[in-house]
Amino acid sequence: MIWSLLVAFGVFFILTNGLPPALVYAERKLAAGIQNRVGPNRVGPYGLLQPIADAIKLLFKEDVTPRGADKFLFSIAPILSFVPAALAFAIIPFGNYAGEVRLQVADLNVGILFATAIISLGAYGIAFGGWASNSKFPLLAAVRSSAQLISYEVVMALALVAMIMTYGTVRTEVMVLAQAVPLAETGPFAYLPAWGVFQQPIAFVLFVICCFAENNRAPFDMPECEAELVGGYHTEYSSMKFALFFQGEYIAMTTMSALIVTIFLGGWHFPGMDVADHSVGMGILTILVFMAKLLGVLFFYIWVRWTLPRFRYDQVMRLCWKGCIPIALVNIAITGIIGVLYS
Amino acid sequence: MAAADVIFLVISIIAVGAAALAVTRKNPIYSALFMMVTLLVVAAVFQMLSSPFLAVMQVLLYAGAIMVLFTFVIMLLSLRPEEMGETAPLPQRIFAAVVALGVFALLAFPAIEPGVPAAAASLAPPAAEAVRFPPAAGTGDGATVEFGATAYFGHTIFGRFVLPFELVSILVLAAVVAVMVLAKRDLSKRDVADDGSDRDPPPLSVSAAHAGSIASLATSTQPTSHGPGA
Amino acid sequence: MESYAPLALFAVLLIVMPTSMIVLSRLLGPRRETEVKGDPYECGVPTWMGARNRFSVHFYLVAILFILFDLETVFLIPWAIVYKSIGAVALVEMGFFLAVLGLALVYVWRRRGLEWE
Repeated sequence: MIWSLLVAFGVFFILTNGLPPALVYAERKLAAGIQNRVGPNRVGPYGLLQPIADAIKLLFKEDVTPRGADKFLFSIAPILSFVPAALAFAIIPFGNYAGEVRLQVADLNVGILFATAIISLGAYGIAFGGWASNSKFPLLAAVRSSAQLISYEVVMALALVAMIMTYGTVRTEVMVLAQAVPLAETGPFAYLPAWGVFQQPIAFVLFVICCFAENNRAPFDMPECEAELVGGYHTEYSSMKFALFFQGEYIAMTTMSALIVTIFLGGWHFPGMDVADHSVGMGILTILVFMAKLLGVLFFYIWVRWTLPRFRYDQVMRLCWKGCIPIALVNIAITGIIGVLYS
Repeated sequence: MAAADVIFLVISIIAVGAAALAVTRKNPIYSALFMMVTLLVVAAVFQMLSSPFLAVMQVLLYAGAIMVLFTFVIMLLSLRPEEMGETAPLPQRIFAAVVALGVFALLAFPAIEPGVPAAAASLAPPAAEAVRFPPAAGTGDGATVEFGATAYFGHTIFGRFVLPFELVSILVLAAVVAVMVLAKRDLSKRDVADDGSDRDPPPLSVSAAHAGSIASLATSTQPTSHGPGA
Repeated sequence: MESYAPLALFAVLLIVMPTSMIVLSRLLGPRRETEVKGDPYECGVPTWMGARNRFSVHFYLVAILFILFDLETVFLIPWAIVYKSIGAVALVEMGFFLAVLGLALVYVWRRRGLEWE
């Protein structure tokens, strides 16, 4: 009992206070590298302390609330965007077992559905934030972004349905175990693990697109496209409230990456490991494997952001309703037919 | 009282309190906020009744989808402060009260009816039990699943309630057609210029071009872009 | 109930942390309100046109379509779990459902409800 509480606390701490500063630093350094710049290099060796300096600076800044803003909603909006993103991480199995302790915050029998439900609440943070500011750019951004979020939520759910069909379960830890076998008994595919990405490549691509769109990351960063909407939904935000939006976005990015890793990239499993080995050493090894995969996906996120140009808003919506949704439906139909034929 | 009773009491008070606040707020966005709280608490009640799937769907569909639509409509209408807080005429309020009381009576009736099993009188959640489903029409081999689990709903919907399920799709189709008809009436205003109908000021479309024209009033865009190093 | 304890702790920590950070910045940061600082952002010129404007009906259409398709996934999820044990009948049942919904999508598409001009 005490150990699972400690696990929960550890996940909380790393997710909210450990990873975001590291990601901010990594993003700035990688962006600089991609654009042939130096990046942060003043605060601490190689600029490593830059995110901490930023956080302290924001903490001591004046918290400005625009005139005419709805004070209460203006204050809770950052919290509403921060909490769901992180709460969804609770169902991610980030390791196998360390002794008796399951390396997962909550082992729910609705599994992945909990994550989708909680993530769907994330739209309120942006909607309320934009509305409460009483300023036209944030409101425009909030409306645009909510429409984008809900549209891609449909695609995400449809891609998930295909994966649930493949694994026959909604429990995340069972999904990982289902990927811990060879893809085929014999032949050339016997050397590949049965990861979701190999079993359902179309669902994988759709899901990754949705993750970018749900996180408002480039090339889908509609709510904050600087050229059109100034700072987006958080134009009027300053000080810690702005920092919370910022932090929440990196947490959401981590949660989405963790979902990708768990559903499509085998979670904490690596080929050749013994899933029945519940020793502490093996537990730590599985955490390291999970972290390596997670950081790989996060690197991809950053890489894409600084490589691709932004979509236009009508292109974003067209891609969703005329591209992704029909493809996802066809994918489900094909999966269903194959599943029944070969069961 | 058992622990479950205490939890039920607390969440019931939150649910009823938030519902009351949702009805009495003058600003519609607060009504939406409190209604969301009520819906989330109802999800907790489902969870206590050993229906985790229903609880998650309550969050996904009601708190996550329908309330987003409400919030959306409130944002789209963007009432100015002076437009809020208009109270409905008295006959309408009386009618609303009668309907609300009627629904309440309908819901309360099973609770006070003497025929309700004694087990239901206790607020403790029913124990999750395994339910056996027979094989469907010739194929498959049937299944034994836990009450309230996702698979339980699967077997129930696609076994016993398959006809209502198919009818839902027709209902959804009807809804889509209705939405299109309502929306198109507004959209076609631009094409049919002289239909003589009273016209609102042109809606502030947030298409890229339009938003760009607003932003182009700026001499320069603010350097508070979200991305570091942008 | 015991298995929910870590989740409860996780949720409480997640709510307490941002709240306390906002309170902390209130206490630590300066508070010097001025007339101009309180203005909504308007690219440096006096505020022009209030924030409350009406939006294109397209957004409303998207929101409704979203609810309908979300409803569809609510049915698809339990189906996805049991379809193998029910067998071919399940394919027919869901096939009809999806066909009708596909029809709805095609209808909206043809009526140009998905265009953003």
